[in-house]
Amino acid sequence: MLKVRDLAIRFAGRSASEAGTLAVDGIDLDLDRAQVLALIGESGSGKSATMLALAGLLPKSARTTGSVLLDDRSILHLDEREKSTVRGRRIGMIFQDPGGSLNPVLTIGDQIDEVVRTHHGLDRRAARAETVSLLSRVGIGDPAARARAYPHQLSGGLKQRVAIAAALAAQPTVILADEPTTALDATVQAQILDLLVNLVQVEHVALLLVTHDLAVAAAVADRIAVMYAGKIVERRGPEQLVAQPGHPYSRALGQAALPFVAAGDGRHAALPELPGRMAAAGGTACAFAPRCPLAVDRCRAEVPPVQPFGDGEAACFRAGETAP
Amino acid sequence: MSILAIEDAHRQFASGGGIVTALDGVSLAVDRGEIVGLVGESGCGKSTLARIAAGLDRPDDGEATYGDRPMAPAGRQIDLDTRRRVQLVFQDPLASFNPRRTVGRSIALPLRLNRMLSGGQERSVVAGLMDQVGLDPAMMDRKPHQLSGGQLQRAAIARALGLDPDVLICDEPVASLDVSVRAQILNLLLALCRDRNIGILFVSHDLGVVRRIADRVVVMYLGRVVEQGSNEAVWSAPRHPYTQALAASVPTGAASWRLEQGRARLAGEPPSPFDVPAGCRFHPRCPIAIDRCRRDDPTLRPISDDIDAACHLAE
Repeated sequence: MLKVRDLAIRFAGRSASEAGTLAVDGIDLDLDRAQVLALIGESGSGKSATMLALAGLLPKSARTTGSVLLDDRSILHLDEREKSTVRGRRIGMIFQDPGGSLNPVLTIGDQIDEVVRTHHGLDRRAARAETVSLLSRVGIGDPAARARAYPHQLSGGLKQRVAIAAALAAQPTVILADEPTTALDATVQAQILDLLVNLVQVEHVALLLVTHDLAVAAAVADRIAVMYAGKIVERRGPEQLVAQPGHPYSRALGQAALPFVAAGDGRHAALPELPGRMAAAGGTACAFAPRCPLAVDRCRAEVPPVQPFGDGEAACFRAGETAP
Repeated sequence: MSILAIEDAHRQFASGGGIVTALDGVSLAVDRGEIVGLVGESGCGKSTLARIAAGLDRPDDGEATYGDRPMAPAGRQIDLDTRRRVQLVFQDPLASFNPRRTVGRSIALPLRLNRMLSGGQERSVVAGLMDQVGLDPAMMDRKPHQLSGGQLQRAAIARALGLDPDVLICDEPVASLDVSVRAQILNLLLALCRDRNIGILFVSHDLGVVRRIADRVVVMYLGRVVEQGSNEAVWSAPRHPYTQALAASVPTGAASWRLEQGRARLAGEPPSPFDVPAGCRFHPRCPIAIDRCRRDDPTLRPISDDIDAACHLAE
């Protein structure tokens, strides 16, 4: 349903002569209804730029190539008017900071009413009834009373539920969620993740979850795509990715995600580290090679192609091997 | 003996026409060379406790002591020698540096204020501190925005180390860092604890991090300690239903986590400290609450050799 092919994003340099920065270097994504796809990676991997491109929120100076099809219709190069009908109506968005996406001077009911009226053409009373139903579907108790509250009167977890209700209001086919639980307490994070999984099944929407946290991705996603330096380096089901990662970067992310177990190797023992920093996108070799414990000459000379691995694929000449 | 101790601290704030009870009789101790993990939801009082431990705030009732000296004597400023022994590292390193001052000058400032630098030494002392935290001394002339988040957090630790502290209070020190950088900063803290015998109070909402590095864990709920004990005991067999729910909420990456949906999951929101429930303050969210829990406020009591819990039903 959502089909991304060879998407590349380049941010403009400071002057016309500068080449600018390549953020995303030719990626493919596929997402169907009632499915959760997680896109994971660290700062600079290109995961947020990818999400902004899908949402039509990239700055004008960004250059995109490739294609993004939503139900076989291109949504990549639309004018502002076309974009605003896609955004909201076909694609809902949830961000890390739920307060940032809510208007502080309007009650949450008024804000969701507006979306409902715009998209469904309902009158005031019918819109409020729909809003109350939405708030109830995202697990907010006493929804009619809560609709009269202002954002500052709600906790972070409740605000994120309201943001999810607002994203659902126009009955989108895809929801893009950027680190939706990063700012929340562990107990509330678990509730919101449960809610998202439940909504995907009940409302039959597709969810693209962007996160830095492999454990969060593995807890909710059907498929996980791992990004590094603008490319997808591995694409797997969650169980296999956690248990038998193919790409050494996925393995490093899994170790850094600190599985919830005791250290096991003695008091104050050092944690596994990933030395170095992420390389720029668009090189002519494997971008991970400088940090990779398995790198051989070939990794420093060629870009490894994507090859089948396990229940998915990985872009590594030594996929599945472990360092001695 | 504990180097840093807080005894029965109470702290209230006036806020928006109401009274918030941030701490309602909390005790805490940190030994040299020990990492104490302090966990709990937003609003449980853990940051207030950290501020009191650092001498930035004083309890309304109860006391905080460093060695045998009070941290914040009533009506007087904390003395400089005590102040320098307990240092802080914050979540957002960019916000804890003056943007217009070079990183080297920021690292040197507390040393100058404590008259621990004489003229001409500044650059060599700062270079030595940066070296200790794995930061290239050549960066001392850069401004904060020219460093990455991980580099700047190292600089914040270097600044704290300059005063030769016995205790570091770390409030979410890795929450804003990328996962691969996070391990590097945690390893630096672990090394300080191991090699320099520094005690660390590690405040975090990231239970995975706490489980991996702490020696002891203190779990707070709504202004009280509800469970404390050795790191291993608290997480492998938590006694308080709240700690059990916290442990169950951590995504494990395993398929079973999804299947367990709703089982030990905590319902409801973190409670408001404006409106503390009667009886056990956890009872409205507790899956096993009985009548007594709605009536009697449980106190923290030893359950086994290495665990205390404040629950009528814990055993």
